[in-house]
Amino acid sequence: MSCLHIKHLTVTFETLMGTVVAVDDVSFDHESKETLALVGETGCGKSVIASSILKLLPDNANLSGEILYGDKDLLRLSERELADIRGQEISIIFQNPTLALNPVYRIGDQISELFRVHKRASSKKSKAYATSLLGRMGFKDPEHAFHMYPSQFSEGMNQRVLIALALALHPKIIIADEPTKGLDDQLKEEILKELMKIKEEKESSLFLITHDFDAARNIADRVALMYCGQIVEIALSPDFFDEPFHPYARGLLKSLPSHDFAPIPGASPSMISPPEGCRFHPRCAERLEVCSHEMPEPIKKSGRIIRCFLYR
Amino acid sequence: MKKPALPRQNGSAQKKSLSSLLAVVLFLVFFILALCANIIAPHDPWERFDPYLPPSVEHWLGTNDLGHDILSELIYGSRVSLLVGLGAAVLATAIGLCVGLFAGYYKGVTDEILMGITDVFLMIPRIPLIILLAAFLKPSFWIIALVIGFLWWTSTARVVRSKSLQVSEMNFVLSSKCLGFSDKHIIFTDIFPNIIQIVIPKFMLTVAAAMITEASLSFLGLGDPSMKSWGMMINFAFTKGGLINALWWWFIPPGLCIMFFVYSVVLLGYSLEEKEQAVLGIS
Amino acid sequence: MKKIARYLLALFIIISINFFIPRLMPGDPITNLMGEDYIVSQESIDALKAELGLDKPLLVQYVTYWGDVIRLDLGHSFHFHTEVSQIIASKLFWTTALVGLSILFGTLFGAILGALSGWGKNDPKNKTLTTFFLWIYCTPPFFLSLVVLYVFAFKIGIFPLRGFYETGTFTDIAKHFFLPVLVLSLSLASRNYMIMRGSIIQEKGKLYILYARAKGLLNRGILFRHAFKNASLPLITLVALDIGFIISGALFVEIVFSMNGMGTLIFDALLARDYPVLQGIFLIITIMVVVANFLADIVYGIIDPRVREQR
Repeated sequence: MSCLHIKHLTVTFETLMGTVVAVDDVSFDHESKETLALVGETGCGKSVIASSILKLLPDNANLSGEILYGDKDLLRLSERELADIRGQEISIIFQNPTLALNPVYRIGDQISELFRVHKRASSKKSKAYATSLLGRMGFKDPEHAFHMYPSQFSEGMNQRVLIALALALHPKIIIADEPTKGLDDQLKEEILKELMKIKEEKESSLFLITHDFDAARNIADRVALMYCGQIVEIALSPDFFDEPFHPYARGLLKSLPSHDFAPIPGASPSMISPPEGCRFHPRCAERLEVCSHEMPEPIKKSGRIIRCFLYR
Repeated sequence: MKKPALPRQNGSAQKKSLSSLLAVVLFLVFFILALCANIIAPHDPWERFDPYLPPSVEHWLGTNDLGHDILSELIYGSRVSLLVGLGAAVLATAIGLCVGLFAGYYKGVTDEILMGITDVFLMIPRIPLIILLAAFLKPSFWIIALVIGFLWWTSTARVVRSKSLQVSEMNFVLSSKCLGFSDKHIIFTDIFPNIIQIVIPKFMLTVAAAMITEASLSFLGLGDPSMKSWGMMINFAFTKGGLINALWWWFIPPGLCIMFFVYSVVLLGYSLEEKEQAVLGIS
Repeated sequence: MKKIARYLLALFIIISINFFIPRLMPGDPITNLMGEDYIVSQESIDALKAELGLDKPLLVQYVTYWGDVIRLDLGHSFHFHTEVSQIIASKLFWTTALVGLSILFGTLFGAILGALSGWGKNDPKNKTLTTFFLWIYCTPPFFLSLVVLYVFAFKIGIFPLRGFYETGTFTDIAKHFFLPVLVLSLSLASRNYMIMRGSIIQEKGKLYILYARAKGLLNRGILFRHAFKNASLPLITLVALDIGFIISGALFVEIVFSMNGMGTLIFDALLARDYPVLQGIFLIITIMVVVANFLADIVYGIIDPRVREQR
């Protein structure tokens, strides 16, 4: 059963340089309890999708399409209705935990705040919740951790706090926006393991945004690949990594150090004036004549969704 | 991933330049008034007519207790404000620049000492000290400008220091050092040009502060008796019954002149500093 | 610790300046120390010189001066025929009340309005507010007082013209305080408004604000629970540094409203060139400013954990 339908989501930004199309006609479903990894290069628009789901985009963003959560369209909810969903039913983990936490409040108070806002819990009760949560996130002395400030914690510890916050109210969906960016490999693994363990426990679904293919391969059930604002392929994780369909996917996997280390020729296109036709055609080794002037529509093909004329 | 750094423009670029223009025009008007006071003023400010005349065609802003034409006094008064404001600000900016540049460039002990001095100056209650000094000195307007200049350099010094700390770490300065240029040369040819754009708005704000201070001192009767400033006009109006007798044309116009002049200078300063402009968001 | 040393040093230097001013200024040091109200014969001048210690070396005078300062002995006013410390003490209460109330209201209103204006869109309402405060910012407090006094007390006549009180009842005092506190608060609020507005605009773009939204907080909650505390940090330092400005402003307001406080004392002392009183006032205000800065440092440390760690 799917818990989130994204239909024809398009996000544009008005800037001084022109209109940036960050997300272009993206549609996909997110099943309950599954882990869906959205992968792509930096700047391809994947974080914008994450922020659109909770409507956390700046004022100069224009959104169109639908994001259906149950019977509600998140894009058309009022700020008050959204606030009820944020943090409680859909939570998000950012990539810079130390910047995401308020430097002048104690860690514990920032966790308690969640219970006070959503559950109207008393300060004593929310403090107890927060302390036990810190204990479960592997802090040896949760009482002590409660009284610490973000600046006194390492990046990894703060990321644990953010994960604790994201899971505290048993949300249906957890969005993790590059949660391990900037952490060392060992910590990365630990954090992801922690995330998966609790996600299983709470029966939440996880929407993981990452540019780290290994992480996606290790934990995701399905993988969605993005290129220049569009999703070009969605497939079950084993299928995707064994035999990618889209030429871009094949190129990317070949460019990994564990494979041939062969880069894709050319550079990512500008988001202000993307190439005509298939976005990828200027760099594509297998392009057809049609690719340069017609945009391929997403089609279903052997259990995958793919946006490429080769599979028409 | 695309988080555009540029905020949406409210389409008020035109409006923005319009109010900067207003500031420039206002400033120029006062500047010309001060420069050509003897041509523009309808009367000699010391010439005596009937006292307490309300505004009329003959005397647009009436006369005071001694029968002086108030409009003419106002026009001549702009000279004091301008002289004290600019004089004090030039001195204050010069001191602030030097202290800030040296502290930011040499760092270490020099920085500690200079910033220590700045901190002490920052804590001096400036107006009470000036009142005290002016009481002893029976001052002329250039002494007032000098004293204000010596006391109003601290915030310029702080801003210049933090900027020159930044600049002196940049590559072109480091390469100048490697090429063996003298410190003096580096400070004045490499660092100084990069600091000037933050100094100019600061300078304008110092002009404004100096003008307000001069007006306040004159209001206390501590001004230069040979040059009647706006503050002094208000002082006379206040002590000689202008307020009690509701002679509004006597004390309101000089106050408005102070406000408008300071406003034009402050706005000019803000519109020269893009960041501040964004912060204010009105210009 | 280093901070405390710095404050003590500042205090030491400023009080020393106060010692040297009458001795370095042009004119007779006797006049400079006694005030111009005091005219005496040659013999008594010599006697006075001995009494004031002016015949002793400067160093001895300096040490004696410090002894006096520590005992809060600020000399004798010949114009008022009393000890300077006594005169100042008798005026200090009302001036402090005026300054205290104005700091309270001026900071509160300035900070809250500035925060709301910085948080919201740059709409006509906020632009008007900013322009209003910019005008106040450009107006010397004494002129603002004059206008307010002229309009409200003189023309409309709903407030008393002068003084701190007449009958001494609470409503009487409140009526007398209303306009002066209004002027001073507005003046202070205009500065705080600008600072807070800029500070909030800076904080608005930070990630913790977005995260607070993601946690499910509503707009006002984010502003007042999160952004406000962080943005008020620079305000604390600036209000403390502004104390000197506020007290000076209060002096002028008192003069215009004929309130019998330190401002009026300065005005009278200036007319009589009563230097000991002027010096005493400068000394007291200096101490108030340094103490205020010290307190602000402590408050800053309580609010910002990052500063506390560095101690």
